[in-house]
Amino acid sequence: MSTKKWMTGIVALFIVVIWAFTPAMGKEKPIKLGTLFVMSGKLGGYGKSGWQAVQLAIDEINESGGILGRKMVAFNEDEKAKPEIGVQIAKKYILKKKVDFLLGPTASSVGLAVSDVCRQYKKILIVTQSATDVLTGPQFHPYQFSVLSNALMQSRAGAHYLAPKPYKRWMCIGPDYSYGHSSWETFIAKLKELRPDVEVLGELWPKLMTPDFTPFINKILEANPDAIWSPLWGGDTVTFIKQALPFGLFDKVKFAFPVGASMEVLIPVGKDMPEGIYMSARYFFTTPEYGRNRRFVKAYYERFKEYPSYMAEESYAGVYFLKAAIERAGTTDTEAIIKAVEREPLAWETPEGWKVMRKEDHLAVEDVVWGETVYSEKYGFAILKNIESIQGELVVRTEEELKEIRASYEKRMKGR
Amino acid sequence: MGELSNIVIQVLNGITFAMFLYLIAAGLSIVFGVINIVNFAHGSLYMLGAFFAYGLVHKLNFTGNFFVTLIFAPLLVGLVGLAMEYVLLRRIYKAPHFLQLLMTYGVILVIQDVVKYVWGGLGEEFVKSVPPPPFLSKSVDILGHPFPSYYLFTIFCGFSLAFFIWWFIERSRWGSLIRAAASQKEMLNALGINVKMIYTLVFGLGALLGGLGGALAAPVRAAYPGMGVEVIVECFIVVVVGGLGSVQGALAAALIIGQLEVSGIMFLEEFSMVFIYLLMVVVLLYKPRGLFGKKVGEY
Amino acid sequence: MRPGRTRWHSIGKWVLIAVCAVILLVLPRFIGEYYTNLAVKIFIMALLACSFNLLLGYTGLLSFGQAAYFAVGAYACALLLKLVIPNVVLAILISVVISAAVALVFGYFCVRLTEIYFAMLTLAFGQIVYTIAFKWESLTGGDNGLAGIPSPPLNCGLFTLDLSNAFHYYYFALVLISVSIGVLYLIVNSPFGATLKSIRENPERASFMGQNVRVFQLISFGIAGTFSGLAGAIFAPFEKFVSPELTYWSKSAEIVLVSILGGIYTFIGPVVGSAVMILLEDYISTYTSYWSIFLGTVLIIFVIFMPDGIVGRTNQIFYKLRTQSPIKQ
Repeated sequence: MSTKKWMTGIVALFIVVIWAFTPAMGKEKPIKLGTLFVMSGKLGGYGKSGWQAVQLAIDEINESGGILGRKMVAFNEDEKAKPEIGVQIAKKYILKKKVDFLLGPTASSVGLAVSDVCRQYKKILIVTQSATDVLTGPQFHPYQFSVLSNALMQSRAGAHYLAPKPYKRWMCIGPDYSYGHSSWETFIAKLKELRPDVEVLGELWPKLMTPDFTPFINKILEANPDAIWSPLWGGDTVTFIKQALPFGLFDKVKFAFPVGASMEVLIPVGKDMPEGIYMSARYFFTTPEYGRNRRFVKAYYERFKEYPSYMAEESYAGVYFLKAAIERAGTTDTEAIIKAVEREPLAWETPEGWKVMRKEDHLAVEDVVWGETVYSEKYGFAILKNIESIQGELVVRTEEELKEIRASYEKRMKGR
Repeated sequence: MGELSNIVIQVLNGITFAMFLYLIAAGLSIVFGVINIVNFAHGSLYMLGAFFAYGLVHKLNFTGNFFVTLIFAPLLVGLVGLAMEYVLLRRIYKAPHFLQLLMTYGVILVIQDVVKYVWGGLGEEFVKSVPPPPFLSKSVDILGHPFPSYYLFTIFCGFSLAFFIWWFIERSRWGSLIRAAASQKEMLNALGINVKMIYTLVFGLGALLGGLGGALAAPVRAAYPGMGVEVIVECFIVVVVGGLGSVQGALAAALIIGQLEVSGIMFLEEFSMVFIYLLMVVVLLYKPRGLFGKKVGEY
Repeated sequence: MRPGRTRWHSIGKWVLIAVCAVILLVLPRFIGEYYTNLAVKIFIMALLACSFNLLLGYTGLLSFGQAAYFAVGAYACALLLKLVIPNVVLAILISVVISAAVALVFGYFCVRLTEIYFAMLTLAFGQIVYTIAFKWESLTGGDNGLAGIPSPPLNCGLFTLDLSNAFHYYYFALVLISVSIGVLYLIVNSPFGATLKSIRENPERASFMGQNVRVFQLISFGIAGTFSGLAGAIFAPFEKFVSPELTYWSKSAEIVLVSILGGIYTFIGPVVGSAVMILLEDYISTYTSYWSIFLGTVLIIFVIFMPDGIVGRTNQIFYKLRTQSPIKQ
């Protein structure tokens, strides 16, 4: 190549480099939100609803003037339930796209990994789908806020809901990983506290996404418990119910699915859903009946042609939490926001009602909804009847537990 | 519910599990035995079978006739298989196995996203459910213990298929052509028979069988994009344990694995994740070619 | 071999290496923290792929469970740093020894098999390691993995590297990995490497010529496992998080993919393949969640038109250009 060509090439490269590194000038920069969800595989439905809800929330916010006069813009990438990918995306968002906040992710293991990245780079993560209670517990740090009721709350709420009912002989069948195990452990510990006469007949742990539950179903039939606690979720619940139906299992044993009442389960099972199964959800679209929720459900349905599951609502609530937090602090600066939210409990309105973010563990204290399944002609899938709301305050960590959490956080920080 | 009925039920469970495995693995085994090609994408053909079944039932309202779906869905998958062979695979017959693996892995990825796009749009649930036909959705009483009649149907299908394959390959005229194509293709070519077309048809048959497995599994398992990838590793294990190229081997391996999984879950649940791999380790160490494997070259 | 061409050829190669070295040394200044981060990932993947390719490209063995040794190295390093000694060098050294041991044990069984059976057995061992990582919660953190792996500073005598700083880690990884790749290069170009190649071409003949094929395969397996473990040990304090996904077969498949993409019959192929894949994925996934169909199509086209890999193809092009040059030596 001739010298002239080399020179042109170098000059061009120079210009490109300068241009790429010049900060963007112009009007008010938008507030950037980086989201991570599982968009593929069996759990893909959760990511899909989450991202749809985020888009809805942001469009609504921008239409009504934005936050502190600035528009909000969001990015989404598929974390594929792999922590390595989640970390990569988080770093991309923070270092390359220079997002102001992160939201998501779906998988608990990714949640832990991404949360640590946020801590390192001092960016706030709004947790809307990962249910692990470890983030608001042993692995707590102030750069994250959980807007959803975590596994601990779900289990305790379940214990409160089921203790008055006449079931004494319990079993468990759940997915064989940390979420399943801790869901059961928390539940049975609380249940025993409220009802010391319960008896545990056994525990079954099929691996996550097992295609065939028949051997487990047989074991249940053999043991013949009164009731079963089942942290199975998503596609697993669908498969399990389909396979258990011909055995008439649901006539013989009462089931309680703490995360069963999600669209990803109710719609595929459709009218095959037996009546009277106890299911809970962080949010169910038919309740509360009043304004905010009704507007949300309507807007979501019109745009996405489906009803919002709790995964959608929590992500929606997450975006609105962010809005409330930024507005209270008056700035998007991370430390200022943390201080502002911790100053006194921050209450903000969401479709499921008012939620309160408390400072001790950065957890939103929200009620947990339990009900019984009943098929609805109107919707074409089962919905919940006899809905009971278990008070959030009853099921969150207590004062003593929180003190321990704070203490261990201080200790861990010193140790670095 | 005595001891005997428990054991009988357990054995039946194991056989059912085995049948699902066999239904998927049979196609892979035939393709490998005849064409000597490693088709990683076989699991995706299984997935297409399930999704076509879903599509036929829900979108085109084939409900009411489950058996029609059971015929059409695999046929569609068979067509996909023919296309796949004609356009892509015949170019790499002479390539080393790892290149075949790579290309068929590429096919998996493409099919996965296509399925996600077609069936994952607005308002679509990620996990699809196909209802079983009404007369097969109850259970039958066996020695006082309920057993789903759909599973009996599956066992019936599995064994019928095994018999059909045996008859087809060993006894029919087509079968002898196929066997000849597998071992003596130059001779066949010299005799003026279009071996290429035989390969294409065999691959189509393998795909059809994979699709059949998917369509049969759909009513009792959930269908979702990515189910092909999960099932392919198990499928390979069945085929390898049985011995590459041996369809009887695949059946034997499936039966052993099925029984092992079920018993393992009953007794040693902690490690159920790992049984199938431990079994493969043990079998391969004692029989390096699988149970009925043919020798490919020894040193 | 005409003397003029040989001299030019080897000078050309050294110039190229020198230029690359200079570029790599100054790169962080120009590309910012995110891409420096990505560069470290590429280095780690390159080492992993090169170690894998010792088995495939040079010994003719397709290992479908190489990620297991990577993960063993990563977990070992993570646990050592978290619980035992906050010294990165020691942690890496011990982790490498552990991975080597595991590789030799698994390899002993695997080399008794051939072709696809070998591959499936390596897969099985990989999945067994996955199960252990998944279930042994008290040690490995189970499916939640181990978070918060420390990156303590490294005292190098004249200066101290703050390993939690991405730029410092870049140089740390660059030095370690280039040396390792250099060592691998020496191995494949040694008499040992030549024997491996002959085994790859025709194992029967090699055994007739008196070579103990299995022993050579086992040693190759052990070396591959050692360097894979090293890649893992370098990964742990960088990512600060390890989880069982690191040993799942899909990670092993990734390693196979990038090596074949780059070209398994050249030494530098896997390195190029790693860089291309990681950069491509980073770029494309920003724009679409349909990365799979893109990659799938690329692979299909690739196998049909470029089965020798990127480097293989470029070599062919260069060869064509050279032989068409009017200036013949």
